Amino acid sequence: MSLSIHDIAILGVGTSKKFGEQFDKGVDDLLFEAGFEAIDDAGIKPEQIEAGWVGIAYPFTGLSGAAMADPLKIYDIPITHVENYCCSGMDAFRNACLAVASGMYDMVMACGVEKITDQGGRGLPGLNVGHTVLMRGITAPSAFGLAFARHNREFGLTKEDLAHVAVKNHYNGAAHPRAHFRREVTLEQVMKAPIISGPLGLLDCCPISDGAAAVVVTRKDIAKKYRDDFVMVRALGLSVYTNQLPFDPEFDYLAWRPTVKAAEMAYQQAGIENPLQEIDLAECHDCFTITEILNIEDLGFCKKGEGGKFVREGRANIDGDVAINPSGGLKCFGHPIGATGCRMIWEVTRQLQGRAEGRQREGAKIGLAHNLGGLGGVVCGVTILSSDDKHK
Amino acid sequence: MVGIKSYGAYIPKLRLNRELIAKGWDIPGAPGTIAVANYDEDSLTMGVEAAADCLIGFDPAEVGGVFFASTSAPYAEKSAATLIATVLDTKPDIYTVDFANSLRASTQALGAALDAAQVGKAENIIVTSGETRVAEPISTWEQTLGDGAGAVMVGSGEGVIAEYLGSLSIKDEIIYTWRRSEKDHMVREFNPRVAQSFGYQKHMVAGIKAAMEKFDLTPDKVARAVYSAPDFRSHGGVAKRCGFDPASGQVQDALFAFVGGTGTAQPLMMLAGALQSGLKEGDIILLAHYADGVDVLVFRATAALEKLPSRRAISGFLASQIPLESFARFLRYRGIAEVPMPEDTGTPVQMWRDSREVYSLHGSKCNQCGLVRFPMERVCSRCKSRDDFTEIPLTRKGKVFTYIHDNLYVNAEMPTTLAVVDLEGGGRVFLMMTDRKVDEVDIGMEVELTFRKIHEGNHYNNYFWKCRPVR
Repeated sequence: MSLSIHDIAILGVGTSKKFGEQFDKGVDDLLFEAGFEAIDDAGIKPEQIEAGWVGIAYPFTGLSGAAMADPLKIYDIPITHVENYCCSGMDAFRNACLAVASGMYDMVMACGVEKITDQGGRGLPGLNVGHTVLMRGITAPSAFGLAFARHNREFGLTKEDLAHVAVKNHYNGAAHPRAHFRREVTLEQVMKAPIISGPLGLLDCCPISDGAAAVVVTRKDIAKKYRDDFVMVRALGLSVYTNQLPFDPEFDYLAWRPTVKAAEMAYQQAGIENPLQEIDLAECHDCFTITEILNIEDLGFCKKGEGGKFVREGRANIDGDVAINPSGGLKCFGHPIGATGCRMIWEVTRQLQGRAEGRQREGAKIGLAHNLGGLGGVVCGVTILSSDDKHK
Repeated sequence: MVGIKSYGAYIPKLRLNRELIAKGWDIPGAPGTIAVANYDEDSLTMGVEAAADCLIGFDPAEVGGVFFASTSAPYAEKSAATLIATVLDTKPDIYTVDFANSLRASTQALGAALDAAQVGKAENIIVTSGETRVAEPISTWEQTLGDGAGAVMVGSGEGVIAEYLGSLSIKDEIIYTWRRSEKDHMVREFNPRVAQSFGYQKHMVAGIKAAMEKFDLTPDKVARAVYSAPDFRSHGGVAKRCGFDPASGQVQDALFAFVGGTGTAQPLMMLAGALQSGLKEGDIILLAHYADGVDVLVFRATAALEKLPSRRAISGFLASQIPLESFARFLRYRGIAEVPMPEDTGTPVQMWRDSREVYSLHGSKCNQCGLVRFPMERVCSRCKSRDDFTEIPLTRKGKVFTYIHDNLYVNAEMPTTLAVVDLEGGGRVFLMMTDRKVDEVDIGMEVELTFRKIHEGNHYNNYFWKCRPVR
């Protein structure tokens, strides 16, 4: 039997009960909650899992496949620790899909977890690793925020444009029982929040969150035996650029190149020609509001330079042309680094099944999950999922 | 002919109004300002700046020696001169020497450099001296001491701008000011009046007079008397007793008004000021410096002085300034108020392996497509040619491509300005920006690179480059 990624189905999904500051829970607690929820959602037994991939970005969260084996007590099977910055979770999912598509396994699990609040300090820890002096001073918000001055110069992007992203995502996330924040914010609150980096105020930045997510992946023909509303994989794009971003004289800071490339791959795999018309919703990497603006452009939902206008005009709202971050996104739902990719898959899957826990995009058939990693866009995964019958 | 071939100086951009010190402690304040090394500067980085200023119009490959003099060198056990030479990107086979433990280290270094040039041991020796001395709070030294650096290049031949005529030294054992090794962070003194009268004034006057006699000079034949002093008042007393006329401009400004007493660096800074002030061929320059004795060196300006390309030296750096408006920051920068900082990490192995990039600022230029990259890359990121590049020194100036002011990075100065800079002649670098006002930063602004201390991870100084608005 010759298989392709279009034969791959998502059978079950789960996350930790909450995303956010979970001081009372350890890494294993989070993965326990997410992993068994996915197993139960799939209607399988843990011993049916033949292989696993666990996305973790930080060594302090966990190392090796045992990070997944221990909380679930699934021993003696191949499990791989996947690290690809903030895109670790989505890359874990991609590897799980490819393994089933290879014909080697029938039933596998991808998961991701991060436990950041056990560490002290401000912002994300450990950004100084790599070189002794190069890149000193960089922070996550400044790495992305460096794009603002260029975008402002070229296209007139404003701080208020950014604020609209936060307002939209908090509106969505406020309705989500698992979100880090369960409150809406006003444009004025976002505009007046204390400045973190450049134009980015506190409410332009995603929080430091703990959380986990897991996905059970199988073949379409097997999925049919378990449930009717399984979700199909249509594309698995992943593109890696450079760690030397601010030293690259050819980088223009107007587009996240890995997003552009991963989207090209994904649209080609899924046969999507007009993303805006064909895609109903997108979980889109919004670690900072500026990141989402560029991503919306780079994913082809609007022309370059029009991302701010696109959000401002409500076209990215839950009932807009394409619902961007119906979950609330990283901004409001939270961003446990290694977990985020799988968390996006979880949200898109449930949206396509019509069982979103937060705001439901009505009639969603095709959904996209976009996961960007690295200081200013180094790695990007774009996954496209579908509930569409023609792929079942 | 042996003598001075070039000069340079450096004055930190930050200036603290003495009134701020006075207000801080509710004590009387003197007029004027002191120059304050920024949080990322030390005697070594300032020594680099003065040496770079001195090298204007010269190729670093011509430099045959680097001598560094300071009582505030960053290391008690490790050469600063060698690192400075590496940052200046000199050839490897040069003579590097560190002079320390006496405020006279600078004139000792200058004397040694002149001797070395005279006997042909080395040619084009840069003598650079940077100083950051710390005064006790509320002491008179607090309003007196300032930070800065001065440099000269010593050599022989056509390019000599001030011919060396000779020198004279007198020793003077006296406990005037001191810092015990590894015990004293701040300058100590016992009875300044005894030391001023019987130490400084007595020996400075005696030294100058003896030198005039030795070199057959009368006061009117000295075009410029460049003599240092521990403090402003002491400086004033010497002129009359030597027969100099301060009103005529014969006495070189000791820089107390706006810079402060820069210790070891002071004579070289004053000498740079003198050489910058329009002296003519044949003018006699008498350089004298006191600390536990006096060194007097006599020079005669040559026709080459007027041909030397202009540089910032004293007048240029003096004019370029930012007021340091916080006394608390001054206390922090001097290490008096210690603020806990998150621990950073560093590995000397990496600094050693990457020293041509990190210190000398070398990049790669692709032999196939010409792309210039920093750090160097073995595979061209544009045309993918493999191990086919030329290692080149990058220019130390450029334009801001984009920037951001960041409040998240824990730094002694907030916000931290980060800039992506396109260097003139190719290469892009990501750097922190220092010595800037937040609202002057913009895309396209011209910046120059400046060598600074980035952090102290693993208990050594991790130096690298930053950028700053052109001074």
